[in-house]
Amino acid sequence: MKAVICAAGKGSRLAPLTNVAPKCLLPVYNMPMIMYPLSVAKNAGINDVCIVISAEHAHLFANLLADGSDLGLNITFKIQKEALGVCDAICSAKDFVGDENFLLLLGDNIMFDDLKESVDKFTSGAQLFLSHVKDPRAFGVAKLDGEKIVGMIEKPINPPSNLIWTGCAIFDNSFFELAKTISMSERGEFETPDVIQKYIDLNQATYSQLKYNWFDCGTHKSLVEASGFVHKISNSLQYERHQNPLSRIASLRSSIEVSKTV
Amino acid sequence: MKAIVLAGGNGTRLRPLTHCLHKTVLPVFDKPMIFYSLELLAESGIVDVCIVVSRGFAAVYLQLLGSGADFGLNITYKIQDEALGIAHAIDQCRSEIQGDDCLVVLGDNLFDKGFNVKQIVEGFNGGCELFFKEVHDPERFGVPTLDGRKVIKLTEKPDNPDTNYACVGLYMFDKDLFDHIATLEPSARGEYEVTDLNNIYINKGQARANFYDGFWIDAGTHDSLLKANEYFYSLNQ
Repeated sequence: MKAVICAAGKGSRLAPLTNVAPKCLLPVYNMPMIMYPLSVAKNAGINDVCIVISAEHAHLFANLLADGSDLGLNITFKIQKEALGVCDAICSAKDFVGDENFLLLLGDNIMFDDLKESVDKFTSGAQLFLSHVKDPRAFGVAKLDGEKIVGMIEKPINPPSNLIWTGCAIFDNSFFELAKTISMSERGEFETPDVIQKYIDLNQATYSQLKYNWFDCGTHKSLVEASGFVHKISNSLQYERHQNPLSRIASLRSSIEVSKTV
Repeated sequence: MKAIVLAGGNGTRLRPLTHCLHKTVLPVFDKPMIFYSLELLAESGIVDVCIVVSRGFAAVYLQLLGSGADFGLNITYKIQDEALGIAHAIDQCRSEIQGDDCLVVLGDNLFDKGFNVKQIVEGFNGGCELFFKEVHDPERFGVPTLDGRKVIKLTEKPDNPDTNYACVGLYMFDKDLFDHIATLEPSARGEYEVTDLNNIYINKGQARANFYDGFWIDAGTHDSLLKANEYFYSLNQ
């Protein structure tokens, strides 16, 4: 299993902050945002990680992460030439993924669940990680039939559930073939939810619900909220304050597991 | 009156954030930190501003702030090759500022509005103006001994503070500034200290205290940076 982290977005909603650095390098409390998805990958036992970035910001990522060895990872960078969305970004990492399965993570998502068991048990299809939110209307919302996911509806006016797709998923290698069969959306991007719909139609999609808090750090408000949350748990939980960012986040994550209070 | 914004330094206490973003461009809610200093200057009516940056991060500031026209300012950049202290950073602006009075702002010090800088700038009458904020823990800061508005002593991190005031990162100096800097010796930690500079004015009986009761934070640590973010976020709710 490999991991692909999409970090090429400009984050124009976060301007002027993103005039300096891309969204995924902005701070979430005491760490650059990208450390959180990297920690999810490492925690799941995945060391081969590809980060898809834009050419404009490549030097900043390289400065911070280099080859990943300081973090115990083997990091590859791929450049997404045009800002054509997540699905296109994933496809630019096709050579890196080779014929393996992959864990998809978004560079601007903060989550604390341990995905190791899901990664270890994964065999084929698509496994989506969903989160329960109060107002799902701005997201891709799951339509469920009992325990089964039967549809993924983008930004619905009347949401069929409060479970949204976080942008985190495990896909088998057929992702790249299925991605070729979808058409461009109205906003001129190839949409990952359309690929997911293909998996659903083939009866190959399953889901799990995240147990702990999930943040999409796409706005000034959510960025401050995510920082505040990490600060709160960092100061209220007992955990080892490692110097290595990923060890530190891993330790924080396991203390959440133990405390069950978040 | 001209102004100097200090945006040098390495921000080591804010690692690993400062491995990809220089300290004074880190986010404070919806803007890079240095925007707050520049907005303060724009309010004060000062137009000519020198920003002192460190060699490794100059490009970021040039690209982000350009000529300063977005803020109604005329920005000149000065490079501090080595981090040798605040007074040394100020000295880099000698050629631009000499002959004028000047307002110095530390780029990582954040102030809320409600601070009539314009009035203080317009009323400036030589010597040096220092700014103080009442705090619970003065022993962490530069603390003044006062005789009314006259500052008679400024002590860095005193064990037994004379007052509950902390000296904040905003100073106003008259045109003797650079002559005074030329007389400074490096401190025990090898830096040219702003406190030593202030003490020259104090010893001449030329330092006056201004009291500020709005929000102030030195955003030099992860926790204070978060506090600053949460404060400016709360103002926007």
